[in-house]
This record gives sequence, C-alpha cells and structure tokens, in this order.
Amino acid sequence: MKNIMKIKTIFYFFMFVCSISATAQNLNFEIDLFPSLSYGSDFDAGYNGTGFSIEYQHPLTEKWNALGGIEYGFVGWGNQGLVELGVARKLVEKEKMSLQGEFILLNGLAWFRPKSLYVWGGEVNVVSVFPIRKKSSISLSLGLRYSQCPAYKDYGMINSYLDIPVKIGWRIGNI
Amino acid sequence: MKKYSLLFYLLICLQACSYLPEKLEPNEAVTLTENRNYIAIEPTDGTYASTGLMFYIGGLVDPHAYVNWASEFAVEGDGHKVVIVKMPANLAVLAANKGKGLTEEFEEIERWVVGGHSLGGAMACTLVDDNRSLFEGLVLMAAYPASSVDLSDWSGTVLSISASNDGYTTEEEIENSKAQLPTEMVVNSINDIIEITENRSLFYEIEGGIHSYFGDYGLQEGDGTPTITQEEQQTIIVDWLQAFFEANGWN
Repeated sequence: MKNIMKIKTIFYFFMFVCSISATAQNLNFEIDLFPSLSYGSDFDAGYNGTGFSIEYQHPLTEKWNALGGIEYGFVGWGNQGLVELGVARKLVEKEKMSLQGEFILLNGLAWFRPKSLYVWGGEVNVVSVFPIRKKSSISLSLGLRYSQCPAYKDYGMINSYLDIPVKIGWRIGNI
Repeated sequence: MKKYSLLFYLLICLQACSYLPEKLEPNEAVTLTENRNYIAIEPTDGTYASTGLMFYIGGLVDPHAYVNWASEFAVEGDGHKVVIVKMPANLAVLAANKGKGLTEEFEEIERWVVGGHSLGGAMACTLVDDNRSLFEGLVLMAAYPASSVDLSDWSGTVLSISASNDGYTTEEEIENSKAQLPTEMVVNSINDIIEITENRSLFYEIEGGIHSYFGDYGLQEGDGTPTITQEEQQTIIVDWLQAFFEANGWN
C-alpha cells in the first residue's frame, strides 16, 4: 500500500515536471557524485554515493531563480529519494560561460522496508554553465552538502554525512 | 518516449528499498567500529584469533542486520574479528571485490575467511575466484556461486549453510551448485566436524529455517514459513561457524 502511494506521488510529480517542461523548459538533468569529507563527527574522506536528479528553475528576478527538483540516489544508509527546494543566483554571465550559485534545502526519505526514514539536508553549489546550442547547455557544479537521517541512529552508528557534491548536467532552456 | 523511460526508471527505483534491521542493542561483550566501508566487531577484551571473518550482506539488506549473530560469533572460542562489508546501495553485486582492499586494513589478521548471505554469498564466491590465495575459507548462507564461477579446484574449504523453508534459495539450487565448489565432505551433525582437509565443502541445512533469519531484518516478502525462531536459527549458524573455524585450526 505504501509503495502504491509512493508510486502515485512520484507519478504526479513526474507529470507535473513534464507539464512544466512542455511550457517553460528550464530543466536540468544531472548525474550527482558524492565524494565525502566526513560522517558523524569523524573527518574521514571517502566516497558516499551516487545520484540522479531533475531540477526546474523559474525566474523570480533578473538575477534570482526559484529552484525545485527531485533526486534519487544512494548514500551510506542506502537508497533515498529527496525533494529539492531552493534558489539560484546568477553570479557571472558571459557568452560562452555563466556562473550560478545555488542554495538548496533537501527533504525526503531513505527507502527502507517496512518503513522509510526521514532524511533532511542542505546544499550550496557553484554551477558553471556552458551553452552548447540554443537553449541547451551543459553544467558542472561543485558544492558542499550536509545530510542527516535522524532515526537511523537507532540502527547504525553513522546517520549524517558532509559531502562535496560534484554534478554534471544537461540543461534545457534559457536559464 | 524518453519521458516514459524516465518514469519506468523512477518506478524501478521505488522498489529499491533496503530491509531495515532491528534496532541495535548495546552488547558489552563486543566492540563495534563503524566507518563508511565496514562494521568491525571484536571481543571487548581485544583478544581474538588471527583468522578473521569478512562478511558480504544479502541484496538490499542493511549491514547492521548481521551484527547480532556476528557479535555472538565474535566472542566464541578464542574470539574472532568479524568485518561486515558495507556495499553501495546495499548491493554486493556493485562492488564484489571490495573485500580485497579491506584485507589490507587489518594488519593483525593473518588469514581471512569470507562469507555472505544470499547475493552477498554469490559475490563472496566471485571475490574468492578472483583472489584465490587471499582467502582460506568460504562461508555461504543461503547462497551459491554464480554460474561463471568455478571453485571446484580451489584449495580452501567451504561451509554452506542453507535453510529448509527458504523461499528464495532452494535445495535444488544448492544441490546444483555443488559441482562448482570443492568436493563435498559428508557430515551428519556438527559433532562430525573434527578436522577438515583443504579443498572440501561442508553442506548443512537448518531444519525449519528461512532466508530472512540469516539476519535480523524481519520477514522478507516471499520467504517461507519458519518452524524455528530467529534466535534458534542464528544459534545454529554461530555453532556451525565456530565448529568450522575450529576444525580448520583457525582459532
């Protein structure tokens, strides 16, 4: 039953994203890599996981955009699905390259049976965007992400990570 | 078309839920060390045999689900170091050779035995096949080698523990895999394991046991019906592991 609910939620969200893409087309498809600096209170560099995300940006002002998206991936506690909400600010804009800063809040679930666990986090990224065609660009971003699965502390000893997300994306649209 | 492919991928991802383990209970008899790659368990007094057990998790099973019986085994006999290997997305198939690098992290361990549950057991076979001289023993729990793996001429010894009411790994699959493992050494009870020569495999089926009871993660959908308790099944597992280690002189 819970799975059906999840499928429905993702389906409606997907249809929402598709409908936005049909009109606005400011979408970013990204592969996310999570090299990691630390877990819990221990600094120990390593690799935390991999993800895939779809983001949509909507202009608020000339320099600021609202940002929303979904991310699927796996990290230390396993598979997770996150909803991204945040803002992006244009830092540099040139013909062949632009720079953007992103501030993102993450909320979602670490997918477990019989019950999933709540995950939250925050992320700051600097994104370089390189246009390759009209309304099509590739992006490369580097950032800092803190994420925590509070209830996982009952099951394991590590329930938070500080990662350095590296994202490679393909953007459709003007932003 | 791309939109439908993406939707299909998302739906597949939704099924990738790991099994949540039972909550960790404090156990003063052992010391747990956890980092991003493994959970290491050793007796609190710090004394243990120079042969370590490395363990690969079952598919989509959280690694902490094996801590309870691993802790019991860690304090058996002269003590043991057990290293439960964490896997990307909790799937050992994504990092079958991860154990090779971990052996170098524990300098005090002179010999390694690798084991695994279900998919983890199959990947442990692959690890041994790729690194034959690195491991002296192999422990399979409701598991058998992939068809591409042939360990029949491997010099190590194998303990294969299965469960009669397992809804996933069948008796037939275990039987068919025997040709890929060292020659079977027939034992009727745990008391028959006195000395094992190299290149031998022991097979034992736990009567009334099931697939899920090889760990502590509740009942897996599609598994059989147990006629023994989880605690009973895991006591049998620990007893056989200890007998296997003793018979091989790994204590």
